[in-house]
Amino acid sequence: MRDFLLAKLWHTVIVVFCVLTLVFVVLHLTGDPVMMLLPPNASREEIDALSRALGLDQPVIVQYGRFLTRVMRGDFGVSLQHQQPAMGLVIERLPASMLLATSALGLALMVALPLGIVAATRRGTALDHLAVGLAVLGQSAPIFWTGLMLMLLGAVILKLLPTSGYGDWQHLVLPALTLASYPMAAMARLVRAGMLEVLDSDYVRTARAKGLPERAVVLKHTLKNAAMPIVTVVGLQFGLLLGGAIVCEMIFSWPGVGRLMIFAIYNRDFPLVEAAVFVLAMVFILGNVLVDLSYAWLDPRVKLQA
Amino acid sequence: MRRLRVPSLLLLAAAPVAAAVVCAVLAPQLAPYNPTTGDLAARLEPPAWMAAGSARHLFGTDQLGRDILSRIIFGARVSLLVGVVSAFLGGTVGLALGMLGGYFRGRADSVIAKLIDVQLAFPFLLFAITVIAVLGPSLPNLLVILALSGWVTYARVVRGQTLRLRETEFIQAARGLGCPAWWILLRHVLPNVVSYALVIMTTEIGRLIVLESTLSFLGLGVPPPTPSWGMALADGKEYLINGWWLATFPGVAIMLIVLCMNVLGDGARDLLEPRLRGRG
Repeated sequence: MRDFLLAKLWHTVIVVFCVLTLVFVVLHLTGDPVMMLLPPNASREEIDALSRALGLDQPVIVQYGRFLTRVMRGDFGVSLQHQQPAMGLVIERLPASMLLATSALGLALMVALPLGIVAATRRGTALDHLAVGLAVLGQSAPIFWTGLMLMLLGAVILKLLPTSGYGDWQHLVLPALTLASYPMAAMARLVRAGMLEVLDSDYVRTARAKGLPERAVVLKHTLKNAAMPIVTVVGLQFGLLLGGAIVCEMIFSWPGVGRLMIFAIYNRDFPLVEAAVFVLAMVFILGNVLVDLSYAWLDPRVKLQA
Repeated sequence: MRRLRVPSLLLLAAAPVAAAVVCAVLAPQLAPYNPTTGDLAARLEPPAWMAAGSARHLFGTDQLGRDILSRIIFGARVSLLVGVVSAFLGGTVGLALGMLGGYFRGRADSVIAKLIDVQLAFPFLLFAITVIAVLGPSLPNLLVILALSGWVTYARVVRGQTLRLRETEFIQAARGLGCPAWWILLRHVLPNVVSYALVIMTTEIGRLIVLESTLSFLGLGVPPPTPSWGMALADGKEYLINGWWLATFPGVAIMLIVLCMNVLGDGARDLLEPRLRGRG
């Protein structure tokens, strides 16, 4: 366990290092930030003075080293548009994004588990075909289209829910449902496949033979053993959820990190883009580590190896 | 019965894909109007079957009076081009790296494995958005970025297969006969792993079409006025109340193609791996 954690930590450090390098390269590909900060008619002296003040007159490797130390302190500079510390702005928006992502994940699990179980236990029936069909359809629809169609149905035609905004639970329903649609479909397919694999095994046959009720066989013996691939896919879906959250926040004007980042891109507010990319990447990496750790909890046979 | 059903489903799925390919190739001949020229007198006209619709515009018109059907037909060009070319580029890179890593093992393999790990540990849409924000949206940038998103899947599968193949007798015999490594890789390994790459490519095309349309939707795809399905959807978002058809039809087009590509991918996988049939 200790070796596993150390290896995971080392791996995480490498990934964080790569993310930071990417952010630094992005900063340098954007051209001279001094020209973006100063008015177009700035004099040579003014440009030189700001370059010195920002340390941009130093060799790239020195700048990179300074950048890394600055980032370690969580200092991504000041947002060009908002004139506030970039990291503070991102942290301020993080709860809204997390609320959306966790609600979507919870919703996806709540629908996918029963759907997958029903499809697997009634394999080959119309119900199974319907569940598989729905899952395939859900995986084929782009998330932004699903969002627009749900908005059209729930807000424009039925007038039950608000089209956009943030505040009470009504505002959360459409974005969470939209964001849940893709992982829901993927998970339902996986639960079904995992259940089918386990339903054929000897110990399930034994459980049935000794007269256990079907409900106990399915919920107690089959589902727990089919849970491993589901946890893996939840981990993999985390990245998709983060990506999807960006799109979802744009559609429903949800004030999360994704929306902040896209507007920062439109306004070429690069300190803010970097801070947002960094925070989202960190959330993603942390999510993956938690998934890895949950394997051992779910299945004691799994020895976490470095 | 099963044997009869699978090909018919595949044929059913292949038909819309073939139709989209025909649309993309013959767009100027098939489209009733120029997709970039609008008629302001006919703006936001509903589809032909609605009361206020006209037979001139089957799927209606957008906010600038451009024919939606023509934009969908031309949009197929961007979507299919981006999907196929970037899947091919990603496939080629993934195939090459997977074969090299699996065959030579050692340091090259560990570098490739680390690259795979790092890429999988980072949400790709974030990377794509960041890079396109810097380099600017254009078709070549989009192709490269999307190709980068897919090579990992090919590399992992091909590496695994190559690791298995390098221990087989026919490869060891070729090595024993003194065949150079490049010859063994091209002549013996490649024919045995290319089918896996082709199966992945089928589903990758669908995923890449969705990714392209997502980037276009965020304003980071192919720049206007080139019609693309994602951009048509982004335009439609603003007119959801009085022009639902703007967002609906391009979305149906994307969903249909991706659905069919997924079915074709599943079918190809079933042919290759009959053991997995009906499990996914």
